[in-house]
Amino acid sequence: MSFKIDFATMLEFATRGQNDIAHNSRLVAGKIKSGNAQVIERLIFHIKHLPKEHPITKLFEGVPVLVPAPRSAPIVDGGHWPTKILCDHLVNAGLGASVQKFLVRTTKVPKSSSFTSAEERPSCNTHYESLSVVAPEAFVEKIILVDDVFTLGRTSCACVRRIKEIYPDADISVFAAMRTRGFVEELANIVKPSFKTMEYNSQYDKVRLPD
Amino acid sequence: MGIENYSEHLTEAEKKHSPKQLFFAGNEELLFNNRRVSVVGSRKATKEGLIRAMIVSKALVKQNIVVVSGLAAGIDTMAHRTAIENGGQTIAVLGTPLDKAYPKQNSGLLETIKKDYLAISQFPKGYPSMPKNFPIRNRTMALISDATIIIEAGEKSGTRHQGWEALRLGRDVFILENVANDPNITWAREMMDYGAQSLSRDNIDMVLEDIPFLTSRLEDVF
Repeated sequence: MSFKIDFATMLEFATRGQNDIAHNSRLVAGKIKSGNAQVIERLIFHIKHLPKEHPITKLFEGVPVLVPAPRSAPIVDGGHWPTKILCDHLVNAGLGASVQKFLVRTTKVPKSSSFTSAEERPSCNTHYESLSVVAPEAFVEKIILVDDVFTLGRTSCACVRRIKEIYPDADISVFAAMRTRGFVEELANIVKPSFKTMEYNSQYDKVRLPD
Repeated sequence: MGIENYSEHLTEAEKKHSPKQLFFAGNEELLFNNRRVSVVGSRKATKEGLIRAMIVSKALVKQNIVVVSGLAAGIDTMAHRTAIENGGQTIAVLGTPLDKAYPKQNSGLLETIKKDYLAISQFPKGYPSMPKNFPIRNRTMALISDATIIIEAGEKSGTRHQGWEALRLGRDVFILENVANDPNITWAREMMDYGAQSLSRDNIDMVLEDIPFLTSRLEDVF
């Protein structure tokens, strides 16, 4: 099933950048991954200060259900789930109606840091096979998959494929706090709201990003 | 923010097993700047295990990562000493009060760490020494570290408690390849299922570079 999906990101994260802003972006990424309330609230401040007509502002309109993206491996009992924390903060700030844990990682996928190139990293199909979806409890019209870091879009597309299986008619989109900029040497700003559309091609199991 | 109010620096999940108080001696900035990685393993380490602990600790120093360990005999001692001898930084997290080294042979090492690096303990002076203090200490090590590296540990080793706590906290856990692939060590396989990763000579530099800055202090930067 091929499809197009809108994805939004608020911050940028330079994994290898050398300037101070790039270094700070790594600190911010770490704090978002650790579920730091102060940093997440700062992110929400920036979302709330976007213009009314900004597509990210519109994305959160219409009481969407927020679905936290699973971690790359099953979570130990009572374990830390950063995207769930992110979702909770967003809903508390009025950016979403509720948090629904629709997706579960049943088997681990290798972390991206285990690979040197994008080709070696887990494919969308690998992510898809490692995920299961929890039976829905109620009808929902609008769903936002919430992730902490967006890199190649493979996790997001695999999650969206699973969500589409239980909500084929819902309006589904993706929001990630940060977008990885792997090859950027110098980062000009950490806050860089972005709203784009990616395309998943099921025949080749490829995600095509606009940039 | 300093060590006295360390809990203010923590998330709700981190507060669950965090110590009520942390006593310290040395440079408290080591707890907040850069990244910290725990190097843990057996007290009765093999010769190969000690060499591996040295290689890993040198690699951490090369990446400007603070080497955290528990001042115990074996792997811990090698981790601290390697960090110091190679111009790096180290934190000792004690299972005893700050004025008591365990084992006693590490009294000199503890004094050096207290003077030039950082030693922390959740146990006040006079607190009785009990075996249960050490796994409690391991939870604190997991808490203050961005990742944990298990060098060498048997099936019943107390080291595994730190691995599980690190996974619960969402920290990276790395198990040296020889332990990860040992069919007699069941906990290693279980931890791998929950996201622990195998660490080898081939991937160590890349893996260490990618450890996230989960525990660093962050000023208002955006």
